[in-house]
Amino acid sequence: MVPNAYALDLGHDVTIKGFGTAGLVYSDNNQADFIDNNYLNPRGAGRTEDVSVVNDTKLGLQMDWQATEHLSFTGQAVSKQDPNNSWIPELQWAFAKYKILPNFDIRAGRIRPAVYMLSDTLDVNFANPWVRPPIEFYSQAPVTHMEGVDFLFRLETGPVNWLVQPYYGNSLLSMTNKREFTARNLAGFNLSASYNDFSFRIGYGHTSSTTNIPGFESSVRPSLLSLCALNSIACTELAAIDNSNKPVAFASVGLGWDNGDYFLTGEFAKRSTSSLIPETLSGYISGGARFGKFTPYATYSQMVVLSPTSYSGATGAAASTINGIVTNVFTNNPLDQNTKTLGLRYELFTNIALKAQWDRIDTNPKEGQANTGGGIFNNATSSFKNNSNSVDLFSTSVDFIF
Amino acid sequence: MKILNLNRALILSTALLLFSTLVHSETVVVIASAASPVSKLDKEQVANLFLGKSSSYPDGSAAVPIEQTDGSTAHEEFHKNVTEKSASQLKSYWSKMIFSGKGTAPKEVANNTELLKLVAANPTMIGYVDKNALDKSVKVIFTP
Repeated sequence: MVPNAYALDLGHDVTIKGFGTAGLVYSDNNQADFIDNNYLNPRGAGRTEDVSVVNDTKLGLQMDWQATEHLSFTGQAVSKQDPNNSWIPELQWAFAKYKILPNFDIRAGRIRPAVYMLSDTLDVNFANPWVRPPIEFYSQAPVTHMEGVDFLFRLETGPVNWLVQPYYGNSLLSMTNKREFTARNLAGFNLSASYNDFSFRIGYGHTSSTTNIPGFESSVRPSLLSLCALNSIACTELAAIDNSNKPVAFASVGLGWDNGDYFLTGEFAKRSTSSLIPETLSGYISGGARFGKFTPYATYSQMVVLSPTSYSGATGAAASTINGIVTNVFTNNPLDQNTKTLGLRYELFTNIALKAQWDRIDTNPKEGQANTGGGIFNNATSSFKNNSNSVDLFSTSVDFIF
Repeated sequence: MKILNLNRALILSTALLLFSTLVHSETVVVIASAASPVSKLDKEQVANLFLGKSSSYPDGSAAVPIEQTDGSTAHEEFHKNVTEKSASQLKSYWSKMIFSGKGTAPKEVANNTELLKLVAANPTMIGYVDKNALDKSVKVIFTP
């Protein structure tokens, strides 16, 4: 008996397996960099370079040790472009799993909180139909891992299969522009149900977040503090936008239908905050058809910022300076963006898929507000931020598992 | 006239023969040890066990599914009829489970003989074999 075709058996119940993507992205716009996540990706195709390998390329290695019938250990390291522009592999998962009952597991260690429907496979592009999960939705809760615990409780009620997955942990993450993000008391649950070809999921996660932003500490905070003596609104606003121990919540629903030949899936989420991190609504809908080895698909995804993107509440002394500083903080956040996608997946072998995808990404500035047209792009020029943009993006990738 | 009829009969019998060969190649049955307390499962229950959505029998006792090698006729027939997933869909499915540490794919054996031997000796196990390979050491608990 051999373990299975998904792993290399090293003996002593230790197996090793991996996944990866080699991807190329071309952007027709040289005013800004296309990125999947403003908090995690420093650069991509567009302004830095026309064609980029850094957007999607990655390699992951996983080792599992089934120590006893009930206890196993899993470690997974992934190398990809990180927020500091380095490719040093990072441990994404490192946990012990204990099977309390046949259908009830507990995991403790470094795990990814199950905030999205596809949280488990955000890096494993082979497992998803697209070149990459829809970015407007999948950039909204960038807690890639936490130190904590979760429970996996599976049960059946008649024809419905349930997964109940509560989680709790704390996380410290490096983000772009030398930002440090801390999530304390991150608690939430993932509840999913599947019935025949249908699946349904709801998720809710809540944390107390602190973001240390060097630019904010070196310029925004001292400027507003020094203006407090002149105008107390400066201090009120500083307290409002300061992201120290501020609550962030992420509530999401997902629905999927897949009969083997056709699939249709969508998710929708609201991020609630009370700091410089904006409140957002995000979602996507995607459908496709499997014709033998070919899977054509189409997706629409969108993110809308609900928080104000400019501030004009200060009156009196130094009002315009205060308004300017606060507005500048808001416009440094990711802003409204939507993407229409057409793509094709081809199964080269049972463990290698080729993909080609066209994205039309649109961003629009808020009426009468400067610097609000940059969407989720990075390193954007002033002209990009102050105009409506329609960017064509062409991506190809090879996804594999071994 | 007679020759025509004969031809027709020939075509019909060839078609029947072809059809029965097709049917015959799909006779994979799901088995457990003769000593297993499980007597019957439905398609959904078998599919859930082989997809790791469930890891126990209806009575709550642990169930261990055993696969045949990816690429074998039995593997292909079983998944076409029971889990209704193609080889590449199955790979996508398991890569989701494996790389999040949520589950591990069932262990595999190389052929019907090995599967029979293993399942017969382990009352918790469940597997599938070609109907023609059946013997008394195991019992059929589901026929697709």
